[in-house]
Amino acid sequence: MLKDITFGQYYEGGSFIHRLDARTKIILLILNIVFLFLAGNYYSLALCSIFTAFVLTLSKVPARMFLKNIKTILPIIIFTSLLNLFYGTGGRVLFTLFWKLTVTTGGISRAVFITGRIVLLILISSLLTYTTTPNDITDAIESLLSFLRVFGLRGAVHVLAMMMTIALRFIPTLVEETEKIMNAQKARGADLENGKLLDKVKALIPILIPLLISSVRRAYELAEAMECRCYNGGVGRVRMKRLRFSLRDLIAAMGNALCCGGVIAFNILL
Amino acid sequence: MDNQIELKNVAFSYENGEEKRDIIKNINLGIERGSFTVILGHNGSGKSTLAKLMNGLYKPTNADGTVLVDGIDTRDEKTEIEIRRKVGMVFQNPDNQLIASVVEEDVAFGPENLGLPPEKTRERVDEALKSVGMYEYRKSTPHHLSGGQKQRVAIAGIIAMRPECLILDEPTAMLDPKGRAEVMDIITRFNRDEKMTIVLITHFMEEAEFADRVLLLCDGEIIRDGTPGEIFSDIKTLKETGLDVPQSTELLYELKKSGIDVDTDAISVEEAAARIYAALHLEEK
Amino acid sequence: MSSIIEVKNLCFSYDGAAKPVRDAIHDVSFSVGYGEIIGIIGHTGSGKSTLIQHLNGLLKPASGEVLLEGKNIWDEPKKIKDVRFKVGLVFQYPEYQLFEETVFEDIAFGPKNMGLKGVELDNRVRNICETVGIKEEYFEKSPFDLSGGEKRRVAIAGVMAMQPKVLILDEPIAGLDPRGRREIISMIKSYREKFGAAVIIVSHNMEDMAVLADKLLVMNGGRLEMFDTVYNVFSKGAHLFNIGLSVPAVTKILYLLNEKDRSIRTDIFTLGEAVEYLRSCGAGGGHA
Repeated sequence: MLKDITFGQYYEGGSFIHRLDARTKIILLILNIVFLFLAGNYYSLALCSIFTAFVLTLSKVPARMFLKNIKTILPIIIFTSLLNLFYGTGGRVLFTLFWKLTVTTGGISRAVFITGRIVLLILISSLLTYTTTPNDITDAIESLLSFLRVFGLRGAVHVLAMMMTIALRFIPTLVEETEKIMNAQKARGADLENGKLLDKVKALIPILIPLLISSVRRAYELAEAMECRCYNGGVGRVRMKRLRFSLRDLIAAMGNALCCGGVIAFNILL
Repeated sequence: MDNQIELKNVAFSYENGEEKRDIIKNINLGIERGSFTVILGHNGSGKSTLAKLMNGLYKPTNADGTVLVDGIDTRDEKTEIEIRRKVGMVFQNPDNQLIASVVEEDVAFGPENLGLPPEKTRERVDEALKSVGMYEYRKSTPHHLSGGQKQRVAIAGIIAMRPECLILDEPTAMLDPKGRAEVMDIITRFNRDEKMTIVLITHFMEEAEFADRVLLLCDGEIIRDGTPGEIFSDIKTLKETGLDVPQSTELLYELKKSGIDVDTDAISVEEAAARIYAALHLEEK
Repeated sequence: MSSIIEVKNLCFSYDGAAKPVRDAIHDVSFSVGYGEIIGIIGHTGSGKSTLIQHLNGLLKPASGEVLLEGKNIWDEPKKIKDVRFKVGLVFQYPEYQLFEETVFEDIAFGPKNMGLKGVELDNRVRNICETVGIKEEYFEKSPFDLSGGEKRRVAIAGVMAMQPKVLILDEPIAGLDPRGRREIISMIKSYREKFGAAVIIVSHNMEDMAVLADKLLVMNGGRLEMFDTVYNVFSKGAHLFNIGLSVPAVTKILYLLNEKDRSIRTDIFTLGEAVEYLRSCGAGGGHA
């Protein structure tokens, strides 16, 4: 149902990871993703796994939350591992299925490796959304993109951030409104569940039109309210919330660098 | 007289294809600094438009109409921000005025736009939230608040800009009785304690009780202008303009009509009871 | 069979954090007879809207049952749509649900969902418009070109067009001016007279409730606090104040007068009666 939709999936907490600057978390996430792909052998991948397990534990977010995320994309994981299993070459041929689907030791090894990589990727990415509020992510993106100012794109960055802020604010409101309209139309006998695809699409009209009209009205009123609060397209705006790097961020960065260094070393040496 | 806002020959109309509709017809009006003015009008009387003319959101559509805020013409684009800061505006639907998904960040929006340094903004946000009794909710998300609480946050968002005048366009229309009382309490307090100029636009007569001055707007014209007592004693006009007359006032009116000599200039139940008590005991003597 | 709708030991709570716990309902039982007008009062979050959404099967009870003409509405879950035609529910600000190109089409939406077609559908819509006073010249207009009050009337007519036996309205007159209010109230009354339907109205306005309703159902913290005649409910003023509710303004005035003079009656709830009574106090040269 609609009410299950939550934007972002912040898990409240006060762990070391939670308290990191959102910008640090985004940068380190990108760094980690890059190094996950750079990890060229089992040793470096194992190092990445250990590191991921360590930060996940550090976040104090329950393991089931992460498992939930893995579960939702399980089909993709299975699909890619099967693909790699059959198309991976090298090593000994173990057996042949059907026509030409051969399973080799090389294939198995590759499948395990890729699957491991994807799982780590998901785990480390969900760590960001679990430990950072959508607001903080928005602010961090705005701050990180502010270098674009140099290219005369300041306005664009501000508009993007403003859009994200407003979206975050209005998504729950619109979800609730959609629910209300759906209930009102259901009370008039609208059938939203049954029928063929075409019927289902048609059944959306009584919901989408009122929703559209009310969204336009809201947008108009919001624009006026923003004007009344001296909004001027962001010119001269100074944010109250200042993002600040602290010692904590430095420690996190160093820890991460250590892991990355290890990956490179393992790649070369082992 | 020291006028915060002054309207001279102001008219406003809009054209919808062939049709031209006059929303405001030649209004001359001064809002005194520190006063509490209530503008009463039925739906479609042009009261929202009048409010938006007062802070320059709309400009008069007639050439000789001017709106002055502290002597500054609202047509002057250069002073737009200055006028908006001085004359804060609160709207009917609290949902459509809140911009951020954290209360304190929303309240900070105005001061941020004014370019205040972060520490100053912080100070004002805390102060504004305290003044509307929403400080303990500063980290909440507006979506989880009640209508009355959301409207209080919206008011805090305006107060944080330190306006000299507050215009409220039907701020209680979408609230339940509790939310309505909370908001009215805040408005009267700002006027009494902070000497803030208040213009309250409403169709609930009850809300005019604490005003210094009541204006009656009908089809774009001000048809009555006086103290609450003066306006409310004229119930016939109020009813004719399609206004909501509180039951207590209506009771006095009906009693008077049926031949009891009772003063009809009361809105609250307390005042009405006092009037009736006086009237009945007078007759006894 | 005397009651059209009967609620037995209804319990419900929203799961998850999306809805606060306060909108839950605990063990509510009552029944409504044919042609009765019931007013539901209670402050925000007392469970009023949760309750009414159970009556037409938009929500399914956690335990307990809702009987429509003696039959549990959830006996055949597949046919729950039919229940919605028999129990019409008008939500708050129903004008926001209008979507068709013309007034006529919008009012026809409900009847069409019932499977009505052609002449039958046409008659159904015309019939309801006549009953509630929507003139033919409005039929081809776009609902979005109407005034607020007119939109509300069209939206309510859209539910009435299904000819429900129970008509439920959530704050039907909120936000309207006196004229708009009078129109909606007369519309509801005409519908009840013509179709003998039971009417359930949720409102914050005690003055209107005193004039309109036969019985009042008082909700407090998800429980049914009182279910009695208007007279009996409003006679318990002190109790209503305790749970954050109120009595009509004229009654409050009488309470205040009574504080000064114990002989003043306080069991009067409508303007007309109050005028009559106070006049008799005055004209009699005394009130003792």
